[in-house]
Amino acid sequence: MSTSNQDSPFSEDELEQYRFLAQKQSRSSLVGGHTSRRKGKSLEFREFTPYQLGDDIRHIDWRASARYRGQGDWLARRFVAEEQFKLVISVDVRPTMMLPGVLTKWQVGVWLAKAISWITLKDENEVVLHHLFGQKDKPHLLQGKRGLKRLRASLKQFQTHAALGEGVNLESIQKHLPPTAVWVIITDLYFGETEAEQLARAIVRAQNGLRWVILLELDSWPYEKADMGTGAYQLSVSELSKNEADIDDTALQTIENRIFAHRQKFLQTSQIDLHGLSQSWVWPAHNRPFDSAAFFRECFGKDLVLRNLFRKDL
Amino acid sequence: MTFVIVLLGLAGLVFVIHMAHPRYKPRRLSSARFARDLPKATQSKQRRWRPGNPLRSRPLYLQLLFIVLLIGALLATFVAGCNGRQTASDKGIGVWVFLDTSASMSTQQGEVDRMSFAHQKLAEGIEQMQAVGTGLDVCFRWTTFDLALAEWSDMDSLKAAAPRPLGTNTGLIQEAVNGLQTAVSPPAACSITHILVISDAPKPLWLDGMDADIPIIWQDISTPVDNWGFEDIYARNPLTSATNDVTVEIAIYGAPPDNLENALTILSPTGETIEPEWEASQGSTRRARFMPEQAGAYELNIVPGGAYAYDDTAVILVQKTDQMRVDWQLPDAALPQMMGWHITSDTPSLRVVPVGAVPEDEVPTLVVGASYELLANTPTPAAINYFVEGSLLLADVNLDAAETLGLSGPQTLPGFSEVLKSENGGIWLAQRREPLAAYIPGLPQLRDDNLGRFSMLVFLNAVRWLSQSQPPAPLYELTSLNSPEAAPGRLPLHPGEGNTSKEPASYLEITDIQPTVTVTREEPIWHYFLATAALLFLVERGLAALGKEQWH
Repeated sequence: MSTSNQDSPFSEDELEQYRFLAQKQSRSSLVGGHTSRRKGKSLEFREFTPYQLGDDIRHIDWRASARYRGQGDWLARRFVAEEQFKLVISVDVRPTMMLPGVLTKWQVGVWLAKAISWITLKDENEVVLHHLFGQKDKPHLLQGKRGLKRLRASLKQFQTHAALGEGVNLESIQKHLPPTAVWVIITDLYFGETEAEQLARAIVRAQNGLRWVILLELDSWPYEKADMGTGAYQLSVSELSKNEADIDDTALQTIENRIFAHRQKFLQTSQIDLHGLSQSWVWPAHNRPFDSAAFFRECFGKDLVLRNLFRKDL
Repeated sequence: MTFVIVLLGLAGLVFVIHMAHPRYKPRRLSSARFARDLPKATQSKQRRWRPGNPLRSRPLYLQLLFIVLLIGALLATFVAGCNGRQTASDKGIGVWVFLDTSASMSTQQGEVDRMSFAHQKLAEGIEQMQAVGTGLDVCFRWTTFDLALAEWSDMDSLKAAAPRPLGTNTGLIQEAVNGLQTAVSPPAACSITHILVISDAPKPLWLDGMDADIPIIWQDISTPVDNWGFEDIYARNPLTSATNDVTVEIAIYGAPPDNLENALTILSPTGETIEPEWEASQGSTRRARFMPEQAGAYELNIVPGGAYAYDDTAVILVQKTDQMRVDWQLPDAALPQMMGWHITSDTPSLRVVPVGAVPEDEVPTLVVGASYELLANTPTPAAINYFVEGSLLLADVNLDAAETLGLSGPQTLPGFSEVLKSENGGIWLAQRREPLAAYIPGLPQLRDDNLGRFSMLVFLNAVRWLSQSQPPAPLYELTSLNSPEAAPGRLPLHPGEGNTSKEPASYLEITDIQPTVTVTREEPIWHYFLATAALLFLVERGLAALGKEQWH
């Protein structure tokens, strides 16, 4: 099935059901933590203090504890009022995301942005929709049920694509990443070394600033590899840059190795993998037509990081 | 041609090489940046070789063009009619200047003479030619002409040449031009593009019909002026050697002088003034005669003269002889002594012989018959039945009276034609033209009757007729190349030089002299092909090294 103008693979009922299941999920499956929220209570974060015997163990910020203290030294959050959950979704809209043709990574990113935005807004939280690349684009702020009504219109901003070589768009979201915010980055990681360096540093800063950063990698290489096969090709992402290559199995392996090395380097630099907050959605390793909506639902359903994002007891 | 075939083979090889370049299928790949600089494919069995489309290869066109240029360089040496050469030419002006230095160029024309006017015209013309030929090669060749050509190294030396007392031979220019056009020798330092003639003679007739490759500009710088002067001076043919009768012909061009008769003065060798006898005026020529009493130099002057001075003075040499030289071969020598003739066989001007002894040399011969005593008063006088009307031998002869003489004569005179003949076949008078000879019946009879008158008349007629074939010794000769200066007995009375009243007739103008191709050469063209091929090679290699991917 092609990525045509299908609005979303999920209906609102399905998203509601997903939200319900996610909030029922037990704490044991938690792979990370964020500020807890208590319905009816206003919790406003004030500071970190060392854990004292008798404090609510749910207020322990394990990441902060691991970073700043040795083992056994824990930091607990102290709140003034209920903290609102802020979700910043950065979608990579460079030309590499416009492939493969059977189901573009861009389409998956938009669907994903819509799904998690809907769930977040349904919980009366904030959503910030943001172009990961392209210096000129401003983020879109959405809040609560009112934001739900504007969600569809805001998602249209992702129809404009960044060009190859455009830098990471970080300045515009600095003010939208307060501590305890969750920053979801949807990308295929096929950016250059300079952009990788910039983004990795930004992620490190965000994490140091007590923010969750979730990297959702869209990996289409298995499909593209199977679809291209071997032969003499003039490869290009866009019309501007073309590269003639004689592709055999060795060349395919080389490409794969390079992609893997690039990813590993980025994960290491950005320290995301240390916290288990990266996920990969991998395209099928065949070039047969497949149901793109089913693929998306399967990937979305299996993604534990996203599911934990919407846990009620946190 | 082998080389051409080899190069064509190279062109085909280039084509095949480009076909062998694999055809790269365009493909969009999101991870394309990871596919740069891949190691060379080693699994050839998995590689699908597809012949590439060489026409899509940009370097192919440059390489093919390079080979085409090499082929072109080779073919350029074989192209028929071209011989692999191109014609290149240089433009310039090369003028061969002919300046008239004949006697008539000394004619006064206004304030200056014609030669000065010619110099001025020449200077103006050179200035104009050098202005037109600015930036081009402008050269000159300097020649004067009258009865001969003379070369000069530069204009200053040319201008130093003055008019000479000689005539004008315009045919020399025609010969020079023809020689220039047919010359097979290497061109001179100055490649001639135009001929410029400056003269007071009108353009010659041969110029109109001349089909010359080199244009001829004829500048007649003359303007009509009045002139009068000696045109010819000659002596009349004497019957006897008693005196020479000198005739002076004076030509008048334009307005005649007020009193020509008073203007002419003739001085004898002793300095005495001689008054000539003038003939009645006949058009533009006046004649005067005088009888030189003695041999020697006679000086003739016309004062005032006309605009042309060389015909105003003449010193002639009169060689007067007292006696006519006669080879008298008759026994009776009384008559020549009476005539005052000098009897000599050394260079005679007349020979008198009896009939039957007629020589065949060139000396005019008077053949005298037996005698009138023997031939006249025959018992049966015969009538004249034949005579040549208008013959000089019969000048003033009364034929009726002659019939009464009863003359007889020979029936034949070999080599002679009859002039007067009787009905019985007797030849009374005869003549021969080659060599000159005349037959008369006998010597003159000194008696006062028909016979006396007839015999004397035919004798004198015969002598006069025989004497006219021998012109008298000339009174002068014309100046020549060997003797260009006037002297006693040598006069610059060249025909036409004194005619100063004719209207000028030029041909073209000096402004018609424009830059023309002076040198045409053939240059090979193959090296242009080769240079272009080398340049193209550098461009192609440069693009392959430094250019975008499509040039690799």
